[in-house]
Amino acid sequence: MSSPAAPSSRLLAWLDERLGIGEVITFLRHKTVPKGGHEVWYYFGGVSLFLFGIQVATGLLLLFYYKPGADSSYESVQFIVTRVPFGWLIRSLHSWSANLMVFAVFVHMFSVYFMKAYRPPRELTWMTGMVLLGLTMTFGFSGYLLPWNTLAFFATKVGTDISGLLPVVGPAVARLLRGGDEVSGATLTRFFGFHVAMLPAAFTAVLAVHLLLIQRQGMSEPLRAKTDSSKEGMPFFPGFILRDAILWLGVLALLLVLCTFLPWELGVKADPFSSAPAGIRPEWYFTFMSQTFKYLPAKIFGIDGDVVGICTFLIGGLILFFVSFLDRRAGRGERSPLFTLFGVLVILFMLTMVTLAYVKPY
Amino acid sequence: MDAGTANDVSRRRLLDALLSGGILAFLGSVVYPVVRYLTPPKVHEVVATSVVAATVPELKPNSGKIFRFGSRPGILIRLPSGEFRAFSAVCTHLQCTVQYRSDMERIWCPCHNGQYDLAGKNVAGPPPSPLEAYDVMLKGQDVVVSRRA
Amino acid sequence: MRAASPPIQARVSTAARATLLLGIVATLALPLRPASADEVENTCIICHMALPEPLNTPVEGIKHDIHAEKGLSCADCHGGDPTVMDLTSMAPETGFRGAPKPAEIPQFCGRCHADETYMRRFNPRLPTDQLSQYWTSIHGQRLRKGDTKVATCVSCHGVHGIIPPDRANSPVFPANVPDTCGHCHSNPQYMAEYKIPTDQVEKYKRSVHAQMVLVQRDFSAPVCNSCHGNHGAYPPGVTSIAEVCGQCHANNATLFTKSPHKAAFDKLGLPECVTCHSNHEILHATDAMLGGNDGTVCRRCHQPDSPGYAAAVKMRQAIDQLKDVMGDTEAMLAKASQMGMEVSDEEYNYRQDIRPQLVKVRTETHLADANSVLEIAQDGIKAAERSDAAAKATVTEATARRRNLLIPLAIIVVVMGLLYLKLRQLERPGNSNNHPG
Repeated sequence: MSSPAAPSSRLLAWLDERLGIGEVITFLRHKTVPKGGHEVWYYFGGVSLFLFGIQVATGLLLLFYYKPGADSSYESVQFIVTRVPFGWLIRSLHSWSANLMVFAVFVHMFSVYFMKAYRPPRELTWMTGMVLLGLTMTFGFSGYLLPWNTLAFFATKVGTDISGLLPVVGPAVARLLRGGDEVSGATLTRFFGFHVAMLPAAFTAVLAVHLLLIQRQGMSEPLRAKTDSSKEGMPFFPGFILRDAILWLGVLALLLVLCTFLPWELGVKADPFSSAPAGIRPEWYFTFMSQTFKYLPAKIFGIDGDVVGICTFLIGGLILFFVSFLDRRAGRGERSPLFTLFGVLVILFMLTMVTLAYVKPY
Repeated sequence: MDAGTANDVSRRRLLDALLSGGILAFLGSVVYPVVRYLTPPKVHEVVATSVVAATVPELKPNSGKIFRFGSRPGILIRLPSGEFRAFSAVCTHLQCTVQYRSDMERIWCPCHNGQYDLAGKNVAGPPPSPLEAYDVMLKGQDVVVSRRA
Repeated sequence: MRAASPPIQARVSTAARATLLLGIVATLALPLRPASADEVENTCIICHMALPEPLNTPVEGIKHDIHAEKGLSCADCHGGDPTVMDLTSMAPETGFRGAPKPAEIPQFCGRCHADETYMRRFNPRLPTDQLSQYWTSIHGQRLRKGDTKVATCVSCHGVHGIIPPDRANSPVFPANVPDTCGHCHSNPQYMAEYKIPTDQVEKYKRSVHAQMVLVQRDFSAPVCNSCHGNHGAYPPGVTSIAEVCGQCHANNATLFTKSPHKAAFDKLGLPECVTCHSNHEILHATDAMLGGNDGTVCRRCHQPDSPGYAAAVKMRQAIDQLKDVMGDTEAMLAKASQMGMEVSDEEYNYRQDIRPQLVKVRTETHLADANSVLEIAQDGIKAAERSDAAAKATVTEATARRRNLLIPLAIIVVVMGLLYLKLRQLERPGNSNNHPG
């Protein structure tokens, strides 16, 4: 690492005297990552974190020029994209990175799921992770409306309508989200508050817990890899960290290419009085839900089809959330093919619905 | 191993130096756009709601001027009495741009001979409704036009 | 009014029998009439209601008549005594005028409608010149000569059930006028002896004006009476067509009047605007109408070696050149948009700038002066080029972005490589940094 008596170690000594960071450094030096051929999946958590960092940075920058309001949202985004130097870049980075982050978080969640890393003692890590997934999607949903263009406006309408289908609390939730009975300027203000204040605070808090738990407990080893426990783990620092850095730089390069060649569209300013464009749907990470609703019959066993749909999603979500407690076999260290199958089915279902939404968007 | 150590050390120093340089360059390529971004652009903000349409001495009484208002044309007229008035210059018939006719003391549309009086009301020809009126304020020598609240 | 009672089927053969019947009907009808202190007993209605067709049709129609709305009744037009329940109600002493013959109809209506003092009671702003105008019209003139086939007041306005022209169910409501005129004018058998075309309405319905009125419900566009006159209907004379069209198309008319075509057309007896644009089937004017090719309106008169032909060719070339530049500009805007640049403002400004220029240059052709058309086309070209420059700037910017991307990309790739080397170095076996601790 650093050569002795270098300025950096003097600085570290100074800080250590005051903050006791020596312990942290020792801990980091000892931290290892299990080797077993599954390392590649371990990176997705870090990528998600990196992308979250990009979101925070670009989001902060956008705040300098963005003006929320039905009369100024669209115009201010247009201003950023056309008049502010590198505004186009910051904006496109924010939009692309948001999508990549959602993707990364999903991959992270599923890879953890299939490696059964949710089993005890990592229940809290898993649950905080699920909360972070929900918060990420909420970030996406609230942020999507902020440019106030036609697609965003109607996608929000569809989305809040779906939330209104929740049994008992549905209409109240929808009203709370919308700030009224319709999507309007009030919704915009509300979503802005969610997106730049409430959600970042909640996300940071839960993320801190999530990361702390990981540091305390170390990385979980997949059940199958137990046989290779004789192999030494890869040291977190510098091995894993440098690999993380290389990967993160690669992701950044990818983002830059995307922003330059496929810049994010401005769209047409939202007009609440116009009719919805044909085939309107929310962003891709919600389409598995919205597309499902298109296929549900009006009534299933006498209950409203849509309500059955949303309850099914709710139940599926709860199963995933509490899987640490439900999967007893994994908890005992045994294989649990049932839960693996459940995960595979969920992925297949989501992929099918998303594909249909884009191939057959009536 | 000792024979290669000196080489190793110099190679390591080179790598470290290159790496430091590379990281600095990278940080620079991040900081530069951010600093440019934060520097206020020449046009400070997009104001679609108010614009300086003309200066007071520019328009004589009983004359008019077309100006850009947001993304649409507007017409600023000065009445014979000296008062300033402003309207949308988009004709309500088929969206041609209207003009001021001092001989008629009317706002006139050349496309189908539509006429509006000095209050913007459609008084002759095909236009079905009046021109949208804007607020006019005098700020020193500037005539500022803004959308009605 | 009163509820209709079932008609009594009986033939009225003698006056006595009629009186008897009337007596019976009156007796029967009496108890059915709701008592009302304000109601005037209108015996015309009571009797005619019970008669067979066609004598009972006025009763139904009069319910919706504007005259009835204003408090007028049968006797106000036809005379007679509406309080008497027998045939003396129609005696000459009562001033009974009966149903007028076709030739008498204009005077019949004009008795009130041409009387300013009388009409002032009802609507001071309603014109009272319909009758005098009518006599100047073709219909009026022929009627005087004894032709009863021509239109009179009731032909267009109806008779018992007259609705004001500003209501949508009136036969003279603008959207209904073409069909009302067409009732006679589109009937070849009816119009056979007059030797004028009967396809005007059919042709009109294909025109842009009909599109505006009948489809878009924009009543600023003309229908038959807008050009031909209301009551003084007489097709505009050959030399005044430009004035009529110029009511709306002011610039075109002024330019035409100043052009050499005016004198030439008048001399040749050619109808002014109609010669190129047709009179009833006025379609959307296109640039294809202008120029030296076969099929243009210019070619109809101007021979290939004539100065008029040369001017036509020049004008068309000027407009084509403008359209070429416009095409280039639009391609540049599309390219910028395709490259991902935000050009909605530039696109909007382009359309706003170029539209008046196009209208201007096409209008200017009516002056038939190639040089002035060229001048205005140049203005249009400048406007298009301005937008083109704006679009090009964004394309340049987009290209620059792609090029400049290489810099940070190169730095990133280099740093990635260096990090990898560092990693290799740190993890080389024997290297003291490899071991945890």
